[in-house]
Amino acid sequence: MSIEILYSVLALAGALFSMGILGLLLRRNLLLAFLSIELLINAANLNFLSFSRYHNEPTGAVFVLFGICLAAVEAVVGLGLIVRVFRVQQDLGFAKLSSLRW
Amino acid sequence: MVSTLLPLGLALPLLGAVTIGLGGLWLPSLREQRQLLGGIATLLVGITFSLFLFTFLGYEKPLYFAFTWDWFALEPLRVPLRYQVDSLSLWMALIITGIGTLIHLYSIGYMGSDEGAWRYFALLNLFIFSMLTLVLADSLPLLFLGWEGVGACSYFLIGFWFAEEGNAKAAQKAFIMNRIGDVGLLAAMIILYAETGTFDIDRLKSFSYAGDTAYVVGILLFFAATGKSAQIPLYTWLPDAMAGPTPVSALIHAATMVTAGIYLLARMDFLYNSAPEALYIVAGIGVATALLGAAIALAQHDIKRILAYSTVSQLGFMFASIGAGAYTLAIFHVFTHAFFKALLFLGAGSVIHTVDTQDIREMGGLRAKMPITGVTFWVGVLAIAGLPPLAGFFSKDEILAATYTRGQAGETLYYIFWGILMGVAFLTAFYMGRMAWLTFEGTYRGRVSIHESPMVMTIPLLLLGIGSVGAGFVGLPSILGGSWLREKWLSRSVQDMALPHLSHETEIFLIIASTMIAIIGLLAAWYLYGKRGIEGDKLLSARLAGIYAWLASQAKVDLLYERIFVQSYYVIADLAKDIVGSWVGRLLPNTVVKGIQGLSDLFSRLHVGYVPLYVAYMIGAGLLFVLWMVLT
Repeated sequence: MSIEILYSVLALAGALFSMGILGLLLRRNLLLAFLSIELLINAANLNFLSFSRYHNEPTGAVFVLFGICLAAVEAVVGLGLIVRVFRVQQDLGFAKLSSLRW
Repeated sequence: MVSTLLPLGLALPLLGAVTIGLGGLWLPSLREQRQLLGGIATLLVGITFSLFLFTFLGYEKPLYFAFTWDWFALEPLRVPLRYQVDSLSLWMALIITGIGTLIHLYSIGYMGSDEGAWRYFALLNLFIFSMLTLVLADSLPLLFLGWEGVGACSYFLIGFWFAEEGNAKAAQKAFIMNRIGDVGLLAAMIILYAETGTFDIDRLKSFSYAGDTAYVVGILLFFAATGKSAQIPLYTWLPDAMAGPTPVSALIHAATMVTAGIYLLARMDFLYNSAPEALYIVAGIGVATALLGAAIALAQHDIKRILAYSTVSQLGFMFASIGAGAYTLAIFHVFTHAFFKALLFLGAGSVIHTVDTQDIREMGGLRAKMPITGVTFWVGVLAIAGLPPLAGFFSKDEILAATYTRGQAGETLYYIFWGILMGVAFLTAFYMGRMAWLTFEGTYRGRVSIHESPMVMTIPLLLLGIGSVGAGFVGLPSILGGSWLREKWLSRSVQDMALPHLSHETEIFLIIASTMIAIIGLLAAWYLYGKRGIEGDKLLSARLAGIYAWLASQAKVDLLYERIFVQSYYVIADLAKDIVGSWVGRLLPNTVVKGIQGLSDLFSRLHVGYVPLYVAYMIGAGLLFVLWMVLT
């Protein structure tokens, strides 16, 4: 893998990460925020993979396997929470989600 | 042959204590077998006594025996369970087990109807075991084990009838007073170990000590002895210790416990020989205690309290003797005193057993009804008064002679000591005569019907009576052939300070003087109490006025200690409560709490409950972290 390809893949990962962050900050919907978190995880995974290929080092690839596992688990818990929140307040907006505040 | 059986001598009393104690604890039906349990306990101590007696008869040189396991080992400090049977410790062991056997035997009669007899005999055996550990120990920690064991056993036995609060308090007092003294022994042990690196008594002997070290350690050891052997300032527990059963008092006063301090100082003779200055203090305290004890005994009405103060006074004589550098002489007085004090206490117990009071004002004329107790008690009285040729005469006369000798050797202070001790000898004869006349002569002032005690109680009295007559002959004054005990026996392991010999004329003068003083004391007692009975007290109190009341209230020492120590303790506690309570207890935690509350108020404002804002915090914190990484 040449350095140019590395750059472009890293740029892609950076773009994904920025989209995730912006989604998290600006979206007013829990489900979309959750999607943004998935984007963040995958941006990080892409980073790991590209460096792994560039250095011919399998550790990064193994790390990605754990990252995917983590994302799956997180999806189970997160989606469960989201379903629960929707049941309680019939709405997925952040605005009303403040009953845990001090 | 016998030497191989010696460990048994130590193990048997322990065995008795464990089997009787656990047996009584687990098999309640066994508790009813009081005579059997008492018999077993007596037999075990008796066997121990005969073991030591055979060892004594075949004694050639110091014997050592050890159990194969150590007590504890913290390298390089190792304390083996090793015991030493030399002439001093063997002699002490003979006193302990010999007198102890008689007291055990007597207890079968005295405690025969008490519910807790099983507990009593188990503890009595444990007491003997602890005392044997103390005297036979080959190293200081092991001696300390026995020392503490004796203290614990005395606590249990003084508080034997603990259901009454007074008894429990007396037990606590004895325990605490002894603990105060123990500080001295511990400190002395630590200093000795730091100096020499060993606890082994034989090896400690081989070192030469700087005067300062020997002085400090000597004073500390003496302080420990003032606790166990009831000297000023720690003697106040002993008069209260009579709260226990009377045979226990006999055991504490005669064979065990109070002799421990004398033994300790005689054992550590080498220290005092290197620091003669420490002996001035020992002698001074001893003489002062002898005087105070005898004076207080003068004005008491409780028969056991009189005897207790006479023990305090006699122990003062022993320390005066140690203070004169004659350690073996103190052991000699321990030996003779053991006979007549055990006799007096057991005799008093025999009286209390039937009269059911301890107040001599409610006694009188008892000799007619209980002849054996009466006659043996009189023997004890005459012996402690120092009438020749009874046991007390020889040892007391020698102590007086020893202080006089020191005076003649140029130390004027000892002439003063001698003078005071002569006065104490007079007082001793006087208050002992008072007690005997008020108890056994005249007319009976009580109401209960009286009878002689059973054989099991009178036989020990008779044996102790024989001892009180004959025990002095092992230590004749040099004009009559010299002291076998001191010169032939104890000198093998205890090194007395070298004193000049008295001329024959002086010696005869001293013997006559101390005999006269005893006779005068007894005559004075007869004049006041033999002729007038209980009225004599009124005459005496009228003559002595304020002093008598002061003595009758036991010199108000307890009150003094209460004022000085207990009250000041309360003051300090109150002060501490104020300071700690208001500053440490309130102000400090309150400030901390307030600060934390303020901080959390501040931070909780960041929690507005809008999740995207939290994400922004996270990203912001991440960016700050990256910034920090880049900058450093």
